[in-house]
Amino acid sequence: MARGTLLSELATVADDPDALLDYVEAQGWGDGLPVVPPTEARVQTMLDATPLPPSHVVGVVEPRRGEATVEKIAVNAVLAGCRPAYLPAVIAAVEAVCDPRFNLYAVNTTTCCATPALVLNGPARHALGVECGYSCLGHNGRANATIGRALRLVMRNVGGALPGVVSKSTFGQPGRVSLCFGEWEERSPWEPLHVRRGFAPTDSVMTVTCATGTQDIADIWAESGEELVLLLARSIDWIGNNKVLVPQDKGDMLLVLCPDFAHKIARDGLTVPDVQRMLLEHTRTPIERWPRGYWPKLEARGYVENGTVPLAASPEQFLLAVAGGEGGHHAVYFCTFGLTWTVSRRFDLAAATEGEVCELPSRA
Amino acid sequence: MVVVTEVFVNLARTAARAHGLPDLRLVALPHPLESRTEADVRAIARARMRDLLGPLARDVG
Repeated sequence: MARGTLLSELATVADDPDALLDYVEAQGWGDGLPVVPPTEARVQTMLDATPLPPSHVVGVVEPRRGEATVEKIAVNAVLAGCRPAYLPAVIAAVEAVCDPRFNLYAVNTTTCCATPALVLNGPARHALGVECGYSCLGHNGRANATIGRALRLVMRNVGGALPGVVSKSTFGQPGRVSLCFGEWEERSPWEPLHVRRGFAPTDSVMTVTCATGTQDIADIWAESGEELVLLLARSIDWIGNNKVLVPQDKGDMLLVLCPDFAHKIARDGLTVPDVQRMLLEHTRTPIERWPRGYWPKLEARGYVENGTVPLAASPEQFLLAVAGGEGGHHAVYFCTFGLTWTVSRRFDLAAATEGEVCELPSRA
Repeated sequence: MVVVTEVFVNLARTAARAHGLPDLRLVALPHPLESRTEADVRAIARARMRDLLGPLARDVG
């Protein structure tokens, strides 16, 4: 169903993939990877996946303060390779990063490599085919690869985050192409992330956190849940951690456990709040780990407590989710940039998703 | 007026335009400042005092 004339300026490009890629590259619109031509027809089909009008402003994207209209988001979703059914999830992600608590201005301009990491919960995972298991953080599945990419393209093309010009990220990171996965709720021993954040189990929710990377934590020796949590805590408190640069009560950070890790921890009766308390308690780094010249600087900022530098101020700053393949011995830590908070947005699935149900492996 | 180091001029100009202040006065200092000695930074500050004070500098000798 066409919705009338699009407001975006039209450009004519030869009907050739190379010509399109050259054009997009010359305009500074892309991320270097091939794009899908955002023809009027494709954008109109994408727009059919949402009841929102094309001119509706979902958010103002810093630092250029570009208006992310539904139409602009749809254009970027086409470029990224999204199926139309993904659009509501992309819109929710844009809405989340435009929430002032996410602090997109800082994320889009910092010298740090921070990037939004997208976690999907609820029925949308199945309907959109969002990978929650093996290699969910990369190289597995169109939804994971393109929903995050669409957000990144909005951040660049609407928000103006051009590398070196506006985005001062020293290195960038591979997650700046796309970092998007689903929580494997069916294999988690705990309530899903979105339910713990106040949503109903049947809600589809996009949670956007800020990640400086995907730090793997491996273990094969823990014999108890407690031992494993200690191992995790002592693996995430390195002194060059970007989180250490900001006051302890700022920012939250996501720890993603593989199903085997989560069950090993839960088997010993540990709840999510238990794990959060243990992570807070055991990420207090002895000041001796820093070179002596740092000590007065850490003291002057009020970061030192009883000879330690706590990573956080409250247990709620540690977020937990369960994802990744079975039989794994790994967790992944998303170290936060610091001056940013995780934001969640509920969204409704488009009618267009009917018939696209993805089967997730059942709970063992 | 906003003071930035040279590599942040584009970002500062973009932010100023976005907030409706395209003519915002920017003072660009050498980059990086962080790895210079305090004496070097003070020397830069002295050399650029007139720029840093802006219109107030009319009364500085």
